[in-house]
Amino acid sequence: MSFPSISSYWFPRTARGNDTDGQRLISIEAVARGGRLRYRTAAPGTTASSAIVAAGILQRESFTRWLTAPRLSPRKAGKVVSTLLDIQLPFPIDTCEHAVVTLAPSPDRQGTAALVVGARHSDIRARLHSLSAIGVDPHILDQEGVALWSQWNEEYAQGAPDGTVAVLYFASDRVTISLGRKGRFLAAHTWRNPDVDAMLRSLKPYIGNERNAFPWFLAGPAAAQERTGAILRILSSSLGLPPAQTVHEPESFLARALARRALNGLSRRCNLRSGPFEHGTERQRRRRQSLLSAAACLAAGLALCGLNLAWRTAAFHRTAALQQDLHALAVSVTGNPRLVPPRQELFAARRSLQDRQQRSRPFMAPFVTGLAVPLQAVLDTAARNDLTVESIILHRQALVAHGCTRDFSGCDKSAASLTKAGWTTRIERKENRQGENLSAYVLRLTLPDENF
Amino acid sequence: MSCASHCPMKTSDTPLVALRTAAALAILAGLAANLHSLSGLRPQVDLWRRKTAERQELQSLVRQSARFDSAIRIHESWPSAAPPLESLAKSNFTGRLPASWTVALQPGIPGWQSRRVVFSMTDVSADNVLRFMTAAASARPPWVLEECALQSSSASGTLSRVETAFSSVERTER
Repeated sequence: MSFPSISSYWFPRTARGNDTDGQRLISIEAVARGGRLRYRTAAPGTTASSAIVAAGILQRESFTRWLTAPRLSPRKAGKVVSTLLDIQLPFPIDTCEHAVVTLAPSPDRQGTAALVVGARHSDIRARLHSLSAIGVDPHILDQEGVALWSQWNEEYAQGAPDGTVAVLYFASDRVTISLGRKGRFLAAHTWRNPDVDAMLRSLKPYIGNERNAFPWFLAGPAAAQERTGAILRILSSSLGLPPAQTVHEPESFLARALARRALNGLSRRCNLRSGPFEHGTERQRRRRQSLLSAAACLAAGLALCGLNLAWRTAAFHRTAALQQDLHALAVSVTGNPRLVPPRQELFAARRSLQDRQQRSRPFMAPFVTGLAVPLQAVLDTAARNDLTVESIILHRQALVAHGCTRDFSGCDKSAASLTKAGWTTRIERKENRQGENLSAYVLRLTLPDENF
Repeated sequence: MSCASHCPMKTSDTPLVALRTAAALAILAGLAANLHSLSGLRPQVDLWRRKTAERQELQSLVRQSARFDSAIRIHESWPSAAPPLESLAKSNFTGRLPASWTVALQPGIPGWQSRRVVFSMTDVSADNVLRFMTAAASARPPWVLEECALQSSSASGTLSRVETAFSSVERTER
């Protein structure tokens, strides 16, 4: 079996909608191109292999129900809906296929409202046989009433008033009325032969006070027939309605709806060809989709594992590179790899350099500022500021000068001058010497340990 | 048209189940591994920060070591020993010899030794002392002033006593 491309699975581009007017087939092909839909009449038996084929199950062969469930999560609400439907149906739910079309908060916001469509197995089987007889084997069996309303919503809802809208569909073998309001499907009714009284009874509850403004639309292959015109006139005069508007290309209205809904995925939620009736291609598609989803999940899982592996590898390499750098640097300090134990690089380098520092001190000494510089500076500034220097003791860390002066401000000037030159200077004033007009001082310079 | 497609068809779900199981396991394994890695991220980053800081300190030690090497190379380019301090003193103090004179030798790195000279003089000019220190520092290899004690006399610009200690590095063998 050949499969269409993956993109056509996820984003189908062609769909064919098949409507029946008695035994006559009305087939429309919808093609999505450049974000727009194009419809064209399709010749029977020329379906592209990748096209989705949709047909409608008639309103009289199916049912639609609005059910209200307690406000639950969508998954739980879906389960509850099945139970509620089982209670409402006059036949066992096991003998029918059903689908939840919409699941949203109910208008009163008290619960979850669900639109459910369904059909008995016998009706589905009969519909598939009748379609098969005219050469149609649909992948999707959409619901007629919902499809009619959906197409009106697509083509005419923009700018339309908020009130109830009716779409009357006339074919040679049936009449279907689909009703909705504010984009929401309400109900659908159908008759094998046009029964004006029944149609009046069905329409009346939906027509509000503004009868003159009630929008009702005419569609279907028999829309232009004289008999239809007569029925519409009776309805119009009996209900006081304005003339019905005929939709654009009324004959293919339902076929267009089926094709469009198949293409944009709406009909998959409304597909009654499910369970034992599921089309082989659809089953394959669903299966392949499941496989693709599982494969995507597997790929994501493997990507996560790969990401982790890549991170761990990168982290390992970065740590190893740093460790290698440390070892190489430590060896260049110690000069011997054996002196550098693993993970003690810094300790080994420090210890090695400490030893070398002691032994290299005499070699470094000529390249730092000599002690003659502060000595010269102290002698010069003392001479400038009229200070008498009596003794100086100088070693690597400090210079201490003792002396005396007549004017202590000279000491302050000297200290300021030496501080400006970059030495930490402290000056102490001593008591005046007996019998002399002199002040003793002690000048201390802290020399920076700029070497080594 | 046949109704084969209307009838249920059995399809083996084994590959799908296997794929889903594998996917679930892969995702779980991936998530667990990533969570484990994330939990170890902070210590890992701390380790890198510590190692980077260590590398910076080691680079600084390497530069320091290079300075030591450079200093030794410069000494190697100089004569094997500094000119005798005695002759420098003679030329600076107009033929006067120090009052006392001691010399000490201290072994250093292999092939080198440090010579330390301590001497004292009396009644010398301060200018002469400074000139002598400059001349000693200009010698190659230089004499480095280690310590110094000066005592001034009553006469201006004259030092009654000077005690200095110089050191120099010299080679022990040629």
